[in-house]
Amino acid sequence: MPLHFSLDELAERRAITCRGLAARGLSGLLMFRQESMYYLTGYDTFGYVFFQCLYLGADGRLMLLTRSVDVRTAAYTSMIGDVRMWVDGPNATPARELKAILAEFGLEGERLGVEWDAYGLTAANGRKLTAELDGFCELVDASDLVTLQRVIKRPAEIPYVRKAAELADAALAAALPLIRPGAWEGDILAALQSTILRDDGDYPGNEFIIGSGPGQNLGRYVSGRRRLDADDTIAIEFAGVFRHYHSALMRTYRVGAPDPRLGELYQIGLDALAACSGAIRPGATFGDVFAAYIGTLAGAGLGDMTNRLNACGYSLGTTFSPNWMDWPMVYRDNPAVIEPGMVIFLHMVVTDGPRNVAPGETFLSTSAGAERLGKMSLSLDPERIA
Amino acid sequence: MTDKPVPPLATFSLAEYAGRLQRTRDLLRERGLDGLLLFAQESLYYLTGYDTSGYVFFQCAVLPVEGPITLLTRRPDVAQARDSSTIEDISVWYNAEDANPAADLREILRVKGLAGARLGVELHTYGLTAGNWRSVESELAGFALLEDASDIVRGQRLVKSPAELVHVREAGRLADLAMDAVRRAAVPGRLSGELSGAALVSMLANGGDLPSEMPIVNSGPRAVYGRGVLGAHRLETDDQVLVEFGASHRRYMACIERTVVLGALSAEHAEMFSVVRDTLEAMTGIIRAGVPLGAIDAEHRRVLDASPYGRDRYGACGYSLGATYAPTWMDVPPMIYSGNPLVMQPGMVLFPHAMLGAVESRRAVGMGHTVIVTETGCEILSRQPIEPLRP
Repeated sequence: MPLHFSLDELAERRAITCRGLAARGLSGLLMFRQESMYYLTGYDTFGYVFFQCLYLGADGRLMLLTRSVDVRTAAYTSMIGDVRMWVDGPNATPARELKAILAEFGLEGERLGVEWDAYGLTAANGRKLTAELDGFCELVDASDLVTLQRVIKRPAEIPYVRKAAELADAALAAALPLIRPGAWEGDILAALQSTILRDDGDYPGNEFIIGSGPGQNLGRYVSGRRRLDADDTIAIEFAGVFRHYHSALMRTYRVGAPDPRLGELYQIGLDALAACSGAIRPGATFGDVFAAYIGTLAGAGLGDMTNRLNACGYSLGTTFSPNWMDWPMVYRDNPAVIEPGMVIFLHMVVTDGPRNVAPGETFLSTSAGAERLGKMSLSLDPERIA
Repeated sequence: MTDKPVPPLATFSLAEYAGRLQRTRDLLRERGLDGLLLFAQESLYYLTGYDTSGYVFFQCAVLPVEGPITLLTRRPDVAQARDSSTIEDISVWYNAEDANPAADLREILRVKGLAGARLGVELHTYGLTAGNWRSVESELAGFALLEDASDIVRGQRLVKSPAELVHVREAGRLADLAMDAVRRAAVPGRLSGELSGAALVSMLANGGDLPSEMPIVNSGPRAVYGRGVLGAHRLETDDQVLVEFGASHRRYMACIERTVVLGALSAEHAEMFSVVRDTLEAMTGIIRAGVPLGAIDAEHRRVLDASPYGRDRYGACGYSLGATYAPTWMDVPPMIYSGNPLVMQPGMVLFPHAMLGAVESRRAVGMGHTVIVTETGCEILSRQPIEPLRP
C-alpha cells in the first residue's frame, strides 16, 4: 500500500474532520470531492468520473461506495477497510445502494453533510441522490468542511509542496533552451511535461497552458499548436506536481526583435508580484493581496478593467482533474484570512492593447510573510537563465 | 452568419457549425423546448467551436430556439471565446464574495424573453456540479420550467461527420506513434513516468493536443489495476507494462491499449495474450452498423468465460469516443456493456478493449483499439499488432 503519509497522520486529519462534523451538528459526511478522499484516506483515483461516495461518520466510521476497478485501487492506495461495489448496467442505482448502506449504519432521520460542490457529483447524480435520500435523512451542504481544513498545509505536507516546486523549476529549465524563433509549441509543452514525469512527478489537475502569437493572451489551454514566428511572444503556465501537490509557474518570453513596451509591462508585472507577495502575511486577507495587484497597475497608469484580470491567483493543494485551482481565490474583497502554511500562486496579468505579460510564482505563507518556492529567474528573455 | 469571418482558432467551417446548431434547434422544437442551457464543454465545442477549460467554474451558454447564443463565463475565457468560437454575445461574471452567476443567468434569460419558458438543461456533465445546479434551480424556481436535456447534443455527437472523422483518424495515427515511443522507452531501470512522458512527448511533437485524460502506465504488480496510480515504478528485467492512453487531435480522442513485455514471455502469460487477442478480435468482428452495442460485450463474455480467466472479467468492455474534456476521455453514455440496446450506426467511434489479470501470478494483459463503425464492419485505426509489444 503506497500511502504517502503515515496512518497516524491520516487518522489525525480524520479526527479533525470528525470534530468539525460534531461542531456543525452533523452525524456524518458524504464526500464526493476526490480531494477530500485523498486527503483523509490516501485513496487515489479518477473513479470520481462516475458515481462514487466516501462516507465518514462523526464516530470515525468510513465506507467507500465505488465501481469494480476502483475496489482494487482503493485497496492499493488507501487505508479504507469497508469498500462496497456497485455494478454497471442499464438499471444501476448507486444512490439507492448508498441509501441502503446508510440505513444499515442506522442513519435514518439523521443530519448528514454533503459535498455538493464537487466535479465528482454532477447535477444529474446530485438529483438522484436528493431523490433517494429525501425523507430519509436531512442533507446539509458541507462542501467546505474538508476544503477549509486542506487549505492550511500540515508539516508532513510541506516537503511534498517543496518537491513540486523543484519539479516546476526543473521543467522550466528544460523548456527554456527550446524557446527560440521558429520553435514548435508542442516541443516546449512536451519538455515541461516529460521532465516532471521523469522526475517522479504526477499529472497536473489541469492542462498546462501554452500560447504564442495571436494566442499568447489566452488564459486557458486551447487545442491546436503553432510554430513561433521569428519575432514572437509566448506565454506558458504550468505546475510541478508531486503526490498531487501543485506548485505553479507562469512566464512570458519574447523571442526575436525586442519589444520595449512589453519590457515595461513586464517590469510592472514584477512590481505587482512584489507588492502582492509583500501583502501575504498572517491576518491579511486574500482581498488585500488583490488590492496590491490593482494598486500597482493603477499606479503605473494601467487602472482600466481591460488592463487586468479579476483574479490574480489562488490557493494550491492536492487537486484532481479537471482543475488545479484550489480554494480560496485572490479576488476583490475576498475576506478569507491568510494563515501560515498556505500555498498561494500569484499570476500578474498585465495587458495593454495587444500586449500581454503574466509573470507568476508560487509562495508559501509563513509566520514572517511569503516565501517564494521557485528559484528560477523572472525575465522576458528566455536566454537569461539565473 | 455568412459575412462573419471564421474564428482564427475554430476547428470547423462556419457551415458545419450552422448545420449542427440547426439540428439542435429542430430537436428542441420537437421536444417543445424554448431553449437549452448548455453546461457541457463538449457541447459548446461541438456547436460553436468554443474551446476552454473554463467549465471548471460556473459557465453556461443559453441557446434559444431563435436568436443568438449568449455565453456567460469568467473574464479569463473571453479572449478564448472570441478567438475559438462563433459566439458573438459574451457576458462576464466577476469573482466577488456576492457573485451569483445563477442570478446573472436568470437576467440573460429575462432579456431574451424566456421568462416562463420551458428550458432544457445539461445535467449530466462535469461542467455543472450538483452545487451549481442547486443555485440554478433555486434562482429559476417559478421563473422557468427546467427539464433534463443532457442527451440532445450528446446524441448528435455520437455519430461523427466526415469533417470530424479527419481528426479522429489523425488522433489514431498519433496514438500509434505514441505507442511506438512507449515501447522503445520500456527498458529495465527506467521509471514508469518516463514512459508516460514518452507518450506525451510523441503526441505533442507530432501535432497532437493534450489528451482529456492522462496515460495509464502500470508496470510490475500494479499492471492488474484498472487505473493509473501515484508514484513511479522502476521497470525490472522481466517486467510487464500495461499501457492505455488516448491521443488527441483537436480534442478528438483515439485510444489504444497494449501490454509491453520485457524479458522472457512465460507460457501462462503467452496463453493470456492469446485469450485476450481472440476476445478483442471477436469483439471487433461483430461491430457493424445495425448491430446493438450489447453484442460486443456478449462476445467479450463468450470468449473470456470459455477461458480459464473468466472470473476476472470486467463488467464493461469499452465505450464511445469523441471530442472530450477533462477529467475523462470516456465519452459516455454509451458504454459497452451486456444488453445495451443502442444500435450502431456508421460514423460512431468506439474503443473496445479487453483486460485480464491473473490473481496468483499477478500477470496482466490488456489490449484495445479505436474503430470507426461502417455499414459493413469497422475501420480499425491502429496498425499496432494485437500481441505482446517488445521494447
